[in-house]
Amino acid sequence: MNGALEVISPGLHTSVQDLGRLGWQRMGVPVSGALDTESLRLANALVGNSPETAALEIFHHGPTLAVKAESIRVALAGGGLIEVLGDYRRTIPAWRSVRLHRDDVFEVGALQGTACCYLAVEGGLAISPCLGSRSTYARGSLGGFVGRALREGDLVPLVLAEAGGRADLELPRPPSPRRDQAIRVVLGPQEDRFTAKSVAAFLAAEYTVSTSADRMGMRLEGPSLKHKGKRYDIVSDAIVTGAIQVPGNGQPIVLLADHQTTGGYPKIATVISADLPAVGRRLPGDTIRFVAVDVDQAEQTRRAQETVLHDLFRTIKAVSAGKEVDLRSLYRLNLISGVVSAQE
Amino acid sequence: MNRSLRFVREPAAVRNSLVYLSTVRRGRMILFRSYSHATKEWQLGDRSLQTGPAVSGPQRGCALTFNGLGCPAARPWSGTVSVRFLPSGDTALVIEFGNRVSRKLNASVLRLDAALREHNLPGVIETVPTFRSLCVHYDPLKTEASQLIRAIESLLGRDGGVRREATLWRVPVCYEGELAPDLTYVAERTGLDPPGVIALHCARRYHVYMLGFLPGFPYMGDLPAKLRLARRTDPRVKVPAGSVAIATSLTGIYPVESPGGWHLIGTTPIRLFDPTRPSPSLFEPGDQVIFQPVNRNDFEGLRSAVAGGNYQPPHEKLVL
Repeated sequence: MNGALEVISPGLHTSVQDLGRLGWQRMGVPVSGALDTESLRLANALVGNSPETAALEIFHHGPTLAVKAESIRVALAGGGLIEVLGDYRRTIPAWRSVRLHRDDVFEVGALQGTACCYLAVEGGLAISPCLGSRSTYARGSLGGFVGRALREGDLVPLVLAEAGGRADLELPRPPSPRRDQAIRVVLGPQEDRFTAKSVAAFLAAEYTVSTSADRMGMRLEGPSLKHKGKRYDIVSDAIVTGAIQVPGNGQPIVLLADHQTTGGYPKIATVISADLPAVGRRLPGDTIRFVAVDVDQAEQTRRAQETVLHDLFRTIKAVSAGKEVDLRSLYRLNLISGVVSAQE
Repeated sequence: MNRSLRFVREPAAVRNSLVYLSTVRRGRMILFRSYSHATKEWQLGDRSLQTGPAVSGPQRGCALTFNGLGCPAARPWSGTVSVRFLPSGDTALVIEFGNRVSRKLNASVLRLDAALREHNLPGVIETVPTFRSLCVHYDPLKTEASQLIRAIESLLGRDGGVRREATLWRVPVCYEGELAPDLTYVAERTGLDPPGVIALHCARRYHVYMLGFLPGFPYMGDLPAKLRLARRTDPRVKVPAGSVAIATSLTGIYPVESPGGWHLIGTTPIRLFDPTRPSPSLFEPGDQVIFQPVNRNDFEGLRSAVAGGNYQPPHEKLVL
């Protein structure tokens, strides 16, 4: 029998995500997928999965889960902490894997310093792909775990019934992105629908992430942008992830993973793909400044970032001795006895 | 850097004789190549011609303007289509044919879409046709915009060649009672009676311009002039799945329950979107649709058949 994760409490919006559902936008199907693909890929690498494996995306506040398998190996990336509750109470930081055992209950509480993080399970989740992806598009009840975010009582099936016997892995020097770095954008496709003054203001101003931010889009607050001739709509055209559309109220919205495939508001600029994970991590109240680059620079930046990420993958190594936290295994092997407090 | 590629009609002076391949800098046309229809040959732009005629506003003529990316492969072009290449970050390129809802623009969009799907350019993930533009999503780790622009520019130059298939669908619609909550309102506003509205709505073959808003939502047109109304001022929070709706020059069908601001004049029992089908959306951009009124009894019968997986609306293949 396969293992499962039982949802004791679901957190704010915990959903199954992979790298997205590509190829169906012409039929109106959003791409979805992880808000921070970089962290998703690192979480997978830490449990030995291929980078596109589906994992749980945790948004703002994490779930409490019970292990319904002989054992599992999990890793958190992007932020957060795993608190294992019960007799073997201990805290596992992000950026390393850990083996947990049947009926262990663990919690990922409120996230600090990021809006999202990823919990990958070795072997992945036993969920059938929908249109080529396991990503959840909750508004369309599509994909993921029965087309929605997790709820209390759900049993999320796992591919493996038991964790592999190898050593746990860690990322010794995890990325520590700052949440105030400027976000790079390519102007357009409709920057010509805004007054020159507004385009300049958009690039000069500091915007604040509002509380109205979800997987579909992030509303920003700041200087109001003016449309030329007060024409707020365009004949609908396609939207890409990262497009910054400006409706009639002049306040920009950054469109994220679950955005509609087409829309009728002018888009002043588009966040470059290398900076999308950084946008996904921003919290309400954070500031955002935009800086314009051209397409060549954006493409080069993305390639350079991919190289950095691959270099980072190569630094992943077995957890150093003394940082072992699989207490139950150690007890079983009679390697230690007595009361031990596992301090990281 | 502003990237734009624009085809414009040839200047009256050179019509039928020369085509200029040029760029516009500070309002001057700079010539790179010229093509003579008489000799059927391209020539390098004469240095003395490199500062061309002054240009302002929309340009006439078959000049090709190309900003910022250098000169594309020289090639005759005799179309009258005007194209702008707009960047959409570093993962998509928009080829804009115009800014109106128009069958002619959409035909150009769908032609380029078909050509791109046939040619399978490396690094292209998917293409999304809309009323008046085609969005080409690409992987910046596998290709780059400048390369794609060159490839697409060469596809744009080819006349026809791509066979485009489409399907004509006959969609049953019940225009009765609570299945048509806005029918009376639409009749009042248009000065017609309900049967008149139904007759007009069913009298035409509609073109599926694009799908968007929701998975499988078809934007179809054009509505007869008499049926054109602005969207509702108070959008509904819940529009039932299958609702057949009209707004402006368009008609659509809500594939799933969702918020919506169009006028609901009927309901279809058919399922427009089903992720378990190999092609999840029943309609493709470029398909054609005819609505056929059915009574409440037939509607219920069809609805059960659809639920049991035993009904597909009548359809036939069209070769365009």
